[in-house]
Amino acid sequence: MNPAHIPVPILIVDDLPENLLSLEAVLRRDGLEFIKARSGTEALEILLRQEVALALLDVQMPEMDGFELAETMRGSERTRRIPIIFLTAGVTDRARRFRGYEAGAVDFLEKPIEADILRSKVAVFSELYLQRRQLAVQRDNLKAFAEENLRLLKESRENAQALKEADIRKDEFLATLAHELRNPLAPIRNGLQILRMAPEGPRAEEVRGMMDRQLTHMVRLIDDLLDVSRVSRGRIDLRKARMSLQSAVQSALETSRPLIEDNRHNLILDIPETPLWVEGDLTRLAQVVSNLLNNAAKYTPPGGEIRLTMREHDGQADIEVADNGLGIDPDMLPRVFELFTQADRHLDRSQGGLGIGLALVSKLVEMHGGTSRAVSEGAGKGSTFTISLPLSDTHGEFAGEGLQKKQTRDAAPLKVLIVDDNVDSAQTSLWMLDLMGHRGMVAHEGVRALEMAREQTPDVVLLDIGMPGMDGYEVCRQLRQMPEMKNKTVIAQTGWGQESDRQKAFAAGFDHHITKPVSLDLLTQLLADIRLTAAKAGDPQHG
Amino acid sequence: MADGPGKANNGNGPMRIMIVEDNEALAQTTGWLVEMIGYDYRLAANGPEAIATYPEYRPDVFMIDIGLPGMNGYDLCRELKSRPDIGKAIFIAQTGWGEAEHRRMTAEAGFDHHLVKPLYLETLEAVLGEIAKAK
Repeated sequence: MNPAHIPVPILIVDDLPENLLSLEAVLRRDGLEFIKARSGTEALEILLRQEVALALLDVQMPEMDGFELAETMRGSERTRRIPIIFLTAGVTDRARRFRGYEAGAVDFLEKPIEADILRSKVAVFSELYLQRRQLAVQRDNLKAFAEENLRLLKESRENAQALKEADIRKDEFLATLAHELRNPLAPIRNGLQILRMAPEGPRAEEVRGMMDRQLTHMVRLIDDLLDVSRVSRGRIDLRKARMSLQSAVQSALETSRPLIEDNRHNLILDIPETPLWVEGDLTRLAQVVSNLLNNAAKYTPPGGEIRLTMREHDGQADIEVADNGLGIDPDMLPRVFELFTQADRHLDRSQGGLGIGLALVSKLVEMHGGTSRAVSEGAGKGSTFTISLPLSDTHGEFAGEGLQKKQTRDAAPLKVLIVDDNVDSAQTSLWMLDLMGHRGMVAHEGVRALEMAREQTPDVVLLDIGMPGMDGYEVCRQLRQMPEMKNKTVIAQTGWGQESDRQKAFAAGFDHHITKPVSLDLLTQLLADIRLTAAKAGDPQHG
Repeated sequence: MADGPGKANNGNGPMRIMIVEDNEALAQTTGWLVEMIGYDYRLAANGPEAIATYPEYRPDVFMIDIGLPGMNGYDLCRELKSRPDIGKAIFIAQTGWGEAEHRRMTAEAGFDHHLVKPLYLETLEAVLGEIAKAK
């Protein structure tokens, strides 16, 4: 904004309207604005409202004369610096002039006014005013500029500090991660060595159970890690449907119960009978609740109490997981949901945490339009984690949710071709199929897989995606071009469980997409379904 | 579960090893391995438990996890070694850290051996065999 473009305000005070008009007529030019007052009181009111560059005051006015007005103006901080020119009728005696200057006049002009002189005097004061205003603007700009610089400097210092802290936390996180991954490995290796020496008997059974649990723990850890990195990059897709929160809790309990029971925790459930409906991804919300339960179990000493409460209020559903365990220091509390935050920095605590679980909780809840919060009275006083989710307002028919266990029926064994470049992975899949009563065969790369498909016409192809040379997508496309393989079932097996990966697989012609490591249960169920469909159709076709 | 029957510490019977480890799965499987190699073992889940139970068990060897909750492995080793009734017991540190700095720290705390997790059976067998032979 250029101050030169704002008109310069000139105050004219005279009790006679014709004088005001003629003064304005004499002085009118571009860049000047005249504010007229017919009395001292009116003039003061105007001066309260706005600033003026110059005041032209008639001396002789009823009630408050020009001198009194000038004295009042000099008495107020707001108006004391306004230049005043007195306009007097006839010759003014020295005494009166002196009083005028004393009151703060810069000049006297006698009526009849000489237009040129008045114009040039007004021009001088207008110019002065403009310069002062220009200076004020420059000063304000400079001040704002300096303040902005200071703010930017502070901001960049803060950013640098935040980056540095994030970097340190990332380093610590990596070190902890390595340990967390190695922790389950130690008993697994011990277990293997024990099995090698004594492969039979009840102890071997116990060892295998332990190895299974440790492996599950490790898989979950890595899954969480992959998930959290996907969420951070915005690459996770929710498969939302109308679902009851009770079902998410149920599923979470199945996952977390072993850990809770191992620690002999007293688990108290306070869940309403009436379903609380939300628009959500069942798997993800179950993961959220399970992570909260695991967190509580991890930081509560054996025998402690974990309480899960679900309630409804103001169109929201709250799930609260409270424990009477280690609690959280007040300075850690605001950061518990951040990734790379570890509440426990022992040397190499086996129960230590990576903070992945809670980071995932907060991000997944956020993606569901909800909020997460943590409360703790401090170390040793237990913690309470609460998530709030918006309830769904539609009252639709409840759609079946979750994996429904279907009856597994015996039928003819399936011929299954396993294609995987990882020899161990292929071999174990073969063993699993064998145990299920199917006939498996193995190819370790794409070209061989195509040959075997042509020779053997398998009912099902279990195809790894990430193979060197010809990848799984390409193998699938070529399989689909063989007349004998056109209607067979092709299952993609990959480490990537993203919706986009699934879409890509279906586009390439896959019938199913499963994520590694494949559980025996899932594979059994899937093959049983395929077998059932094939048996129903009475031919090798499938849906 | 297969704890020794508390024989007198007179040099007879298998060598007694106290395993101090808070990771239950790791503690139990290490115990079984020790037993399979031919020694006796007893488990303690943390420092205070080890301190409370060693006088009765009188171990020849302590295998101590460094990252114990509460009292860590270094402190536990120092505490045990300061006791007159500990005799000639040998101390083995078990830790996830294997760098020179960590080895120096365990040595300073008074450990005789430093084993890095996960443990190789051969290593365990060799270390325990050596200790048994020296007895």
